[in-house]
Amino acid sequence: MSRVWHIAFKELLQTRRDRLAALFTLILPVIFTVFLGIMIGRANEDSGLPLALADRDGSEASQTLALTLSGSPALAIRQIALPGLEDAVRSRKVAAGLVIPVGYETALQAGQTVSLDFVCLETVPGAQSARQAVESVLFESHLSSLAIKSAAHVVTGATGLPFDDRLDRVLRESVTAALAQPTVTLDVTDAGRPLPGEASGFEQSSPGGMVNWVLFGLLTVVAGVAWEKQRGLLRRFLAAGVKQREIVAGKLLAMVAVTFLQQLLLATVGQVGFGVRYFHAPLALLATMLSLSIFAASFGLLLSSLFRREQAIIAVTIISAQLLGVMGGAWFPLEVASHSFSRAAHFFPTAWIMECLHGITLSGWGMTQVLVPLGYVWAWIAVVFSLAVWRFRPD
Amino acid sequence: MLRALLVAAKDVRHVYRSRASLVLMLVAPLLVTGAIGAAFGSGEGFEIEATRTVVVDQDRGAGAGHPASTDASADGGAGAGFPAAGAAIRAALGSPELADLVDLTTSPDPQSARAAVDAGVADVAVVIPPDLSEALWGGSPFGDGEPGPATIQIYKDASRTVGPGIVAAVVEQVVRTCQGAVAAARSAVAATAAHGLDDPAALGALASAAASDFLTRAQSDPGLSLRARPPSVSTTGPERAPNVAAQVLIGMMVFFTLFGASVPARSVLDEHRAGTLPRLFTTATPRSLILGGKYIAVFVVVLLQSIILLIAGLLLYGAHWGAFGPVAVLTVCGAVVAASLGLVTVSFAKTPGQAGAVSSVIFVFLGLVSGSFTGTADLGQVYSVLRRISPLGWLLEAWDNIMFGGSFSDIVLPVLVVLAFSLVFFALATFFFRRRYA
Repeated sequence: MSRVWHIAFKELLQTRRDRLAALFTLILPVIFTVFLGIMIGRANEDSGLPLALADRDGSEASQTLALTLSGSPALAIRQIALPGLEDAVRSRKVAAGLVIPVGYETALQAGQTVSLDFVCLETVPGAQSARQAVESVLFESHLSSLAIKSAAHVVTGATGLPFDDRLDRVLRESVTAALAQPTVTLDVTDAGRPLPGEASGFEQSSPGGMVNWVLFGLLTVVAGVAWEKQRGLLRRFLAAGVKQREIVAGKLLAMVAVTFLQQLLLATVGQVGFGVRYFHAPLALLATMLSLSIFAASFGLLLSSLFRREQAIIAVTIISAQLLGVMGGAWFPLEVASHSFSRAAHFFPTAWIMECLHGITLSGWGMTQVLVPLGYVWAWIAVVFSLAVWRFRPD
Repeated sequence: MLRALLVAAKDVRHVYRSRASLVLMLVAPLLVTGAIGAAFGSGEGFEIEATRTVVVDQDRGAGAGHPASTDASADGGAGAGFPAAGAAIRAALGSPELADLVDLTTSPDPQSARAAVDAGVADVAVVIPPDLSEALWGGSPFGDGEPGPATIQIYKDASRTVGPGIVAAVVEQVVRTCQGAVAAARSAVAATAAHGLDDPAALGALASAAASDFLTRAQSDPGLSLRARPPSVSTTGPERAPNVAAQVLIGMMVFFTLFGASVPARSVLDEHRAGTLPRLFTTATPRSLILGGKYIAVFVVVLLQSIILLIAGLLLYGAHWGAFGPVAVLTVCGAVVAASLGLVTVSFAKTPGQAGAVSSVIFVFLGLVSGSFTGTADLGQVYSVLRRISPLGWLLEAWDNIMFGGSFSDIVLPVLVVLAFSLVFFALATFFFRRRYA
């Protein structure tokens, strides 16, 4: 057993001395977490989303609509001309743009349906929030207009009164007052033990960073194994009486330790720096982090079993890490991806790890809730580890 | 010059014979693009997973003691003839238009609905209170004798926001529509009463008629609608809508060309360490020609990488890159700036390992601020300014212009800025290499 410890200790020492390892294990994940956390948080904000507005009608009705849109707390309206609007949307200076067409007022007065151009890049999530906000304003505006129309229709029909400015004013004031006092409210509550405040972008970027970067942490050890194999150092181990399983166990232990420490650091940064609630369920978190570490270590061992050249290992590690991250929902929540992608993603262990981390940080999951998702991860570990051990050759 | 080209040809061959280099330069960007493209689809084929929704409808209808039905109050009092609001919410959530977005089931009581969400069987529970219709329709049309407020509870999985958000929006829309009908009824009564009509029965009938008229109009008159479209660049150019994969691939291409450039650039250090570079310097070939050959190699490697990725994007993902001329200009510009960045990050490193570490940090930082990974996210004005500190940000801006139908005039400024950046980087790289090898 002491040989296992010695091999693991040597790998850890080597990793600690490697600046490149520190870069990929600690510095870049933290930079990514912070940057993406800020960006996701900003994209999900439901207040002050910049919306470019081009009023091509210039009528009283279009100005009223512009005024109503300006009153929405979810939007920050910037009135600009049409060519500028297109440019502002494309260069992401605004979340989206809205064009009030020529003939807007005339069409409204004629009772025709008016279609407004909503200019957006489909890959900008802020655009979806802006669209919802605009639709909400349009719906409210339409609601008010319909109520006035209906009331006017009934009143003029029943009393024979003409629909003049006075009647319009009375109806408008009355409708506005009635709509301003809703008798029904919606109470949206999160299940489990919800966050005290609103979820920030870090609830996605911090666990995402852990999953995305965990394989990078192995680069030094995995590339080191390839280097040792090339130079016959592992065979020298065998000649010295060290058993192959001791070599495997030592390398694996080192990889588990490196990735676990990496996760611990990222979780601590997430909790202390950005208020992501990792440590309220320490057992569940420990089980999840250990599962991810053991999976990553098994995967690293498999890579070092399959590839001989250092450059090949680095390339395959980078590409595997990125793909496992994307497929697992580390870059974006799977709920915003397509239905088929979300289904396919759950074939990968990283999707289940992300589910556990989201459950712990957002819904207050404990040990019992993470058991089933981690069961899938352990099925992967069994397969990957068996393959790695089967293919591992010291020379 | 021929000798410089021979040096370049050897380096290019070396890079394109390395499977590891090919994986990093070509396979990685294409696979990541494919995965993200599959996640977000393009246009009409895209649909998110249906939100598993449990509804508990406890609504008694507008007349106390009556079941939730359209004839809630037979005596012509408050709520007469109005639909049961709970049933309206259920109908809206279960409508065929929302079938792809909402997977609706019902539950007999709030406890079991919440338990379904807690157990992960459902994503969201909608608990409709017994007094919903009463709260909406039950008030006097005169505006006095307001009923007590009612609350619809939306209990959702905390890790989900999109699906429950859609459900909440549908519920709110139904409620607001009902409130619109009430507003129509009350304003009709107020306006009529202001003209001297004070018969309560007639006013009640007037209120019912206004509310019914409103509900009929709400179904037939969609009012204002939004037509989503991508931005066009030039008013004379064709309006194009590049798919998600094309937009992602451009970001990935710009980022991975940096790594493509760093591989041959590092060969200077590799050869220096192996002793082959000093050996070359002992030959009659001037050092400037040897280094020039290395520069050409880096440029050619990246140019080939970009061309392969653009063609692969066209064939694999159906990407429309834009007009040929501007695309060619941007491809060459991208290769120039990537080559210059690859060379400058290697020029002040002493060993290949150091070069790898330093260049990785610089590339990842540039990729982040330029929007190579996060071109999908919006930071408004700050981000659009921030990304311009990097030549990659300018390059991506130019690619955006072209993909959305722009022409040469739309990329002049970004191209000039990118070339200026490249010139500075080449000058710096040459300065450091000369200092070391001159």
